Amino acid sequence: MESAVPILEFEGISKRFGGVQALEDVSFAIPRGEIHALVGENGAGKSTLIRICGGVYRPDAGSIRFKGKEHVFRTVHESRNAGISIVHQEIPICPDLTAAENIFLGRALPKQGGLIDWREVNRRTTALFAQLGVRIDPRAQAASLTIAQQQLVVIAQALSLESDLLIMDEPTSALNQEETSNLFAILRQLRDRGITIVYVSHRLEEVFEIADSISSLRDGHYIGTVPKAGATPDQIVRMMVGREVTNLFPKVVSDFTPAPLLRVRNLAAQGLFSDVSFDLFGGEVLGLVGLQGSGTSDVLRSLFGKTPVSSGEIEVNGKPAHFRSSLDAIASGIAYVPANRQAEGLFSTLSVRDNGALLLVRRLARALGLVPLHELDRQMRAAVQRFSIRTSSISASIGSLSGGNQQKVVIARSLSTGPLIVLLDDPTRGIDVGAKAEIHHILNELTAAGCGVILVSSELPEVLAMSDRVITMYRGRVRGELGREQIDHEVVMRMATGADGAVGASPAPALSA
Amino acid sequence: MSVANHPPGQSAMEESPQSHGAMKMLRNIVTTREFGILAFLLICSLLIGLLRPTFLTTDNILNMGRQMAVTCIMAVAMTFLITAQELDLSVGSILGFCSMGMALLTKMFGVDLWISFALSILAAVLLGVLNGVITTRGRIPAFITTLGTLYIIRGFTLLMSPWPVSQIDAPLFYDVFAGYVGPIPTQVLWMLGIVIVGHIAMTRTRFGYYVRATGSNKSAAILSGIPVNRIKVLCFVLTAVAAAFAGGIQFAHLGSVNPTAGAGAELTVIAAVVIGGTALFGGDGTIIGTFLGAALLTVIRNGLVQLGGEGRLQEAFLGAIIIIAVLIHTYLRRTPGGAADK
Ligand SMILES: Nc1ncnc2c1ncn2[C@@H]1O[C@H](COP(=O)(O)OP(=O)(O)OP(=O)(O)O)[C@@H](O)[C@H]1O
Ligand SMILES: [Mg+2]
Repeated sequence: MESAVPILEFEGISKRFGGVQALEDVSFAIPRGEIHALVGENGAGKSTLIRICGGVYRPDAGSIRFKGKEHVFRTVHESRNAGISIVHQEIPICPDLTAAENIFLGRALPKQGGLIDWREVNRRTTALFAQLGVRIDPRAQAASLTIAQQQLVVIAQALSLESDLLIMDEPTSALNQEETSNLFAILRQLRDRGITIVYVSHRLEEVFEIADSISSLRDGHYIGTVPKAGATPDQIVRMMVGREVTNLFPKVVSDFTPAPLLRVRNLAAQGLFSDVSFDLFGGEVLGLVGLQGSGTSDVLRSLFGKTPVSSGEIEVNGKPAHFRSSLDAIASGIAYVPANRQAEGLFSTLSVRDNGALLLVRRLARALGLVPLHELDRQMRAAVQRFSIRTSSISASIGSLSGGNQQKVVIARSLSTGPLIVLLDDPTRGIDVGAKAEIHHILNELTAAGCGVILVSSELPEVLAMSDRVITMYRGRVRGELGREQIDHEVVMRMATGADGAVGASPAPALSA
Repeated sequence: MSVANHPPGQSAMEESPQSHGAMKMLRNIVTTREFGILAFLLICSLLIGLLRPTFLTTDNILNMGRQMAVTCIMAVAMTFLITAQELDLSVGSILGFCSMGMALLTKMFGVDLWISFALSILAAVLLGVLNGVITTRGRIPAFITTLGTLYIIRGFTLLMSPWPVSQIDAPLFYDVFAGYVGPIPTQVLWMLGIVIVGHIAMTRTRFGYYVRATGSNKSAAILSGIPVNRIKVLCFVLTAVAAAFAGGIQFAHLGSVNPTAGAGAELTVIAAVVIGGTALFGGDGTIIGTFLGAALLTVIRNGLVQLGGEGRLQEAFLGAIIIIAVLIHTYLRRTPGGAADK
């Protein structure tokens, strides 16, 4: 009816956290009935803006007009009642509650004689999941769900509110391709019904697939909005980063060592994967591609001594290796960067130095376990330089860094042991294009120095572009192997989804030659 | 009702068809997390009963019910507080303060004991608010807040009266809180009532739901629009009120109050909660478990006395029980088919 009035308008929004100006005088409008992507580097202020819409933060200055009416959302309820529903970035879920309990948190509940009618709650949740094509038991405890399932629960919760405006902050960070395209189909349906969607993602190919127009923030400032039709990825990247990033995946091919650094034969871990065999050469990036649960991450964890191996052999530099713990693996020259940075990578209460230098302490410790702090500081400053970690100082708290820079600290720590073999599990999840390119440069440096790298990534274009060789896994088994010139998006996807029809193609004979 | 804290699981049980209901019911009971502690309780009781025939008599069971009432009532409220990821070490002091205050009001100023009791409950509300507001607004751990108030409140109690207060005439009060209905002590009835109300509140009301969400993931709860600080303060108030109420019951039973009444009760209360299977780090609380935990503590105490166990050994035994019970819970939670996998 009044489609000329934008559904959401920001007018001069500013927000400051201590010394950080997260948003400054942000003004723009989101037209009704479209899918509107919001992009920007880590720390650009996207989530802050979204939290202001959701009544989580209050702006220091400026106002929001929603459906043409000025609003100050003081609480989550006020925003929700006005007709805004939000999928927040960090997958807010209560692990002790069931899926259904998470869905209905903070909402009107069906009652029976004054008491909550859980049967009805479960019934409605089942119906909701069915409608969304999600296969999750409403009675399952959230802690027992995978991250992807947890993310789907959070998404389902927002969708079920049937609001006029749906805001999603990196909703696909833990989803695989199939789940993502399912979600996109739903989002398109919603848009066609007149619902406006604001979509935040660091994955440009997603943005180009789903969005009608794209707005960009940089360092808390609004940069501009462009319609997708006619926009190019380079243009968007320039809006985000403020400079040219000519090559998103700057792959440099290095020479391989003649002998493999790592030989894996018939490796199996109970219930996770079996019969995995491959060689990794120095100077090589080996991509492991598979859907969630295909075992790719588990293979990395086994190679790092984190997941017990039930059978099979591992040889490092021609010598048989048995890792009972991660310490053994580190001693053999293996480094590992975990996928879940928040849970496994970071010590959230420690400083940048203490996060980055943890593994150095062992090496630098002198008599009585005393650590020469000046030497530690020197090495950490060098690491900050080498990995261009943007931080006010090495004694700053790790929490004050953007996601990308936090990740670089985790990588710096893993590499501080001078490893030969580097296992990277989704090293660029939730990281902006600029920081991604920097991490890809680190990959190139590693291979140039003769290291072997195994890369698992939730972002297919990344593995495909950065790998010299790709091994696909499906349901815990190796599905096939592709050399650099054979790597093709569609072929890899078919193998990873099991749609190629090949049965248990073993790469071992080809490799052992 | 055995699926105490997994309300959505409850409906599965209700839905199970009558035909093979028995098998299914049995499985449902075995897989609840209260089952471990229930089995442990039954085994201990049977063992003691075999050794001392006087142990499993109706008389002794009712007697034990009376013994456990004070701890159990406080533990029910503490279960909410711990589930909301907080803790109250000052319950024992609050019990002492409130019952002493109540007794003094009546003894020295001639206030009707019922009115004194009501005022002591009111005082508990204020103490709970104090604990809650200092913890949530001041953003300090409840452990610290209530460790402080534990001493402060006990200090004031000793200041009020360094001597025991007794000989207060209020027959109805004694009958209501320490009398009998038929053979059953009223303490047992109060306790069971509070356990049932607590269980329903935890599993079937918005309050219990919000308490569990708050303790499970505070920031997710905030993003869902749940007033987590208010919920926490409410839990502190609940705990303090339960302590004052338990103080009334204890006073009615003993007919006197000591300035050190309730000293050390906080540890027994917390022990009952964790033995029952409530997670010490919040998010996951079970009232039925707490009841069983308090029962187990009492059975061991009473049993050891009956077996002629040495007083000092009793303490050692209780300590071992706490650790064994939590080991059982942790083990059941890990095992496939255990409660955590439901
Ligand atoms: N609660 C907070 N306290 C202090 N600083 C904060 C807080 N929330 C955000 N910031 C800071 O505000 C800035 C903007 O953060 P915001 O989370 O909005 O970025 P973003 O664009 O969502 O980044 P990302 O892509 O990594 O999610 C960052 O510098 C961040 O460190
Ligand atoms: Mg963000």
